[in-house]
Amino acid sequence: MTTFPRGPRLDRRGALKLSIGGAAALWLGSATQGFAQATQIKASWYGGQDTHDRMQQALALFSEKNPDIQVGVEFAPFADFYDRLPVQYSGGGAPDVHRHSMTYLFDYIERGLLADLTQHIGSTIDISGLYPGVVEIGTAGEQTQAIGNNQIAVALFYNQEKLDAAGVTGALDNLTWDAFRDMAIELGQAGGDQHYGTNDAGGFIALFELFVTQRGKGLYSDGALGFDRQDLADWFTFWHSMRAERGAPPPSVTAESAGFQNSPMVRNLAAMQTGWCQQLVFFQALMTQELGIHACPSPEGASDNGHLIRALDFWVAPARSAHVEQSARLIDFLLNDEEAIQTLGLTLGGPASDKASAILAETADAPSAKILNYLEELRPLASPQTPHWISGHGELESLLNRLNASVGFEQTTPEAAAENFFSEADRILG
Amino acid sequence: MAQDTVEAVITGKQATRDATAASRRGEAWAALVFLTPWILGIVLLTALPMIGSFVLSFSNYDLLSAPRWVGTANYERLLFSDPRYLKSLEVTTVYVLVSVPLAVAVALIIAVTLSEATRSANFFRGVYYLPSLLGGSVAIGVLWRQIFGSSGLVNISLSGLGFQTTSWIGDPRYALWTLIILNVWQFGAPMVIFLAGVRQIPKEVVEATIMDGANPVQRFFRITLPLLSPLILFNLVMQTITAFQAFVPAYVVSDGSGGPIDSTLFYTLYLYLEGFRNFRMGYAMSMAWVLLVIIAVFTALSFYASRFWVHYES
Repeated sequence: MTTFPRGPRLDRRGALKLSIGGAAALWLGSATQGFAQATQIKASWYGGQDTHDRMQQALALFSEKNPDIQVGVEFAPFADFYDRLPVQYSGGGAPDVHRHSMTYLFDYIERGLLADLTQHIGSTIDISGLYPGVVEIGTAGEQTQAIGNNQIAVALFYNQEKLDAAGVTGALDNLTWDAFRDMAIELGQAGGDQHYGTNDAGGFIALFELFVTQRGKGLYSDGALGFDRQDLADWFTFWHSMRAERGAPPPSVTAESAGFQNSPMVRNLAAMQTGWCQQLVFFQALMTQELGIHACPSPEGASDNGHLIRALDFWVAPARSAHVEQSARLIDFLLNDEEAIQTLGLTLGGPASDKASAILAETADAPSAKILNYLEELRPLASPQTPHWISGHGELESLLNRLNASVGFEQTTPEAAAENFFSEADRILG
Repeated sequence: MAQDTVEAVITGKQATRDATAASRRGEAWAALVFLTPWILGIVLLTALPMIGSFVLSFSNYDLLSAPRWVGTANYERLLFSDPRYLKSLEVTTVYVLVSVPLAVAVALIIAVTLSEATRSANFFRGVYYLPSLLGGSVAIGVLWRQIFGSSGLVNISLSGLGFQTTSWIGDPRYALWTLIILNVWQFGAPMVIFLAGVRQIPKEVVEATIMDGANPVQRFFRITLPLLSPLILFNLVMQTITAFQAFVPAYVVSDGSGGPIDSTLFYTLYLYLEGFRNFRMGYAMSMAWVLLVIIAVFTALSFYASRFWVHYES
């Protein structure tokens, strides 16, 4: 009979002691290891593929230079991002630092959901080189809850070839609203059947803001609408007259124009397109013909061309985040680190500081150089103000778009649409 | 002795009864243990959220801050002072009343046509079921945009034939109809149920009518239709419930807006926009509860009306 050497016996008590001891050792081990581990934070943003690629490269650089912070990422297109964000805030799982558009920013600021970054400004976040308004828009009283990550303005993009062919390029020199309308109609006619001058921008609220700024008013004033019914009726009337003569496409074409790739200019249906200046890069990437960029129309003889150069997107941290300090370091890195500025290029918008402008000017490709040049030339002519939007802006933007389409489909008149906008705005802002 | 025997028998019976009861109790415990995951699922994932949503439907809740009790204000606004809500109700009702009977009728006709167990019938059954497998997916919504868009397949075909074209999804007069066609196209699920029903029709009955000289149309209306009527009711009810809750096609085709000018603003899409985009989750919850009532009423009406046209063999 073979006998085996008797090893240590393990009864139930022994097993229990061993498992408790083992678990404790594992916990202690992981805890000790934890002290040496990097702090995990989550960053998120919205944008297109170019933004996602460049942001991830910039964050990889950040992790290299800051080994004590590990950044997890989450990104989505704009609409999907804002479907998810309120749920994340509601459930306490909002990312530690994220991009926030002015469209919804004040919905969050007014509810006290964003961390006050004031104590980190100066010590962690260097704001000394930022353009005026970049910090001010996110500052109320003594609290700064959002810091701009860009400075942008609305612009008019045009297909140079089509303008030359129609012989209307000269109209850009003195682009009043009437000249713009005539030019758009000529371009539509020059293009032939089912061609139009520009996109229907009657639902583009930032362009409407420019329109009322040129009239010495604002989109908002003291938490309410800052313009009159007549201003809005005039606006709807202008775009209705554009559609009537193919200066702008009919609403059924506009209904299918969401996204850069579906815009009438990219689909070769229109010669011009309004948008935010940095979008020139996205439009140019989808087209072979060369695009130009120009300031939007202004009234005859106006001293102020109504263009607002200001931050439209921001970096914020939720008030409930346990890592505001680390988030502040990341915000500073994205705003001020030379390599980060180079990596991000214009994907988040125009530069937010002279330093960023200078760095980007050195390496800019042709479309980016046009944007930088546009902002540079616009700056002395632009309004010195940087007014901000308010809570409820997102809903008002959809409302404007819907009413402009209703006028287009002749379901309502410009005057009735303006009236409707005001009564709905009362409820939304009430 | 006899007394002892009797006592022993009684004790024995008692012991058996005890054992049986204990075993039943054991079985009950086992059943409970096995059911626990489902009970927990129903309580935690269905019942509690439902109660929560009912309570919150009486509040002003924006997802981002604490709810504030507003009594029946949400329900009052819903029923009396929100024209967009009424528009969404109108759009959804048209969608349900047109697309559901059409989808059920198409399913029934195809099922009867393909009821023979031939090889080609098997093939076509598979082909016709395919759209239902794809269901209300995002991919189908995108496909629909490509088919009915201004430079889509339909317009290419129409202009090829010399017809005037229009943007089917960009025009409020037609946009809803493209979604109705989409729903009718997905008739696979009711078709499968009808196929099973057609197979259950007794051969003797069919043969007897053939002997009596009934033609196929008479057989369809006099035999097939009455015998399938319980399944028609079932399919109508199920399709109605699903159609009231349709969301994805409208969301994708209209880019999440319900446009153009609210012509595809389905009930659930408006609910979603109010809850998640406009921060009125309390209001959205009241909409959800009203939808439940609407579906319940429609279902009850279907059952009530069924006594006049549904034929049960028993």
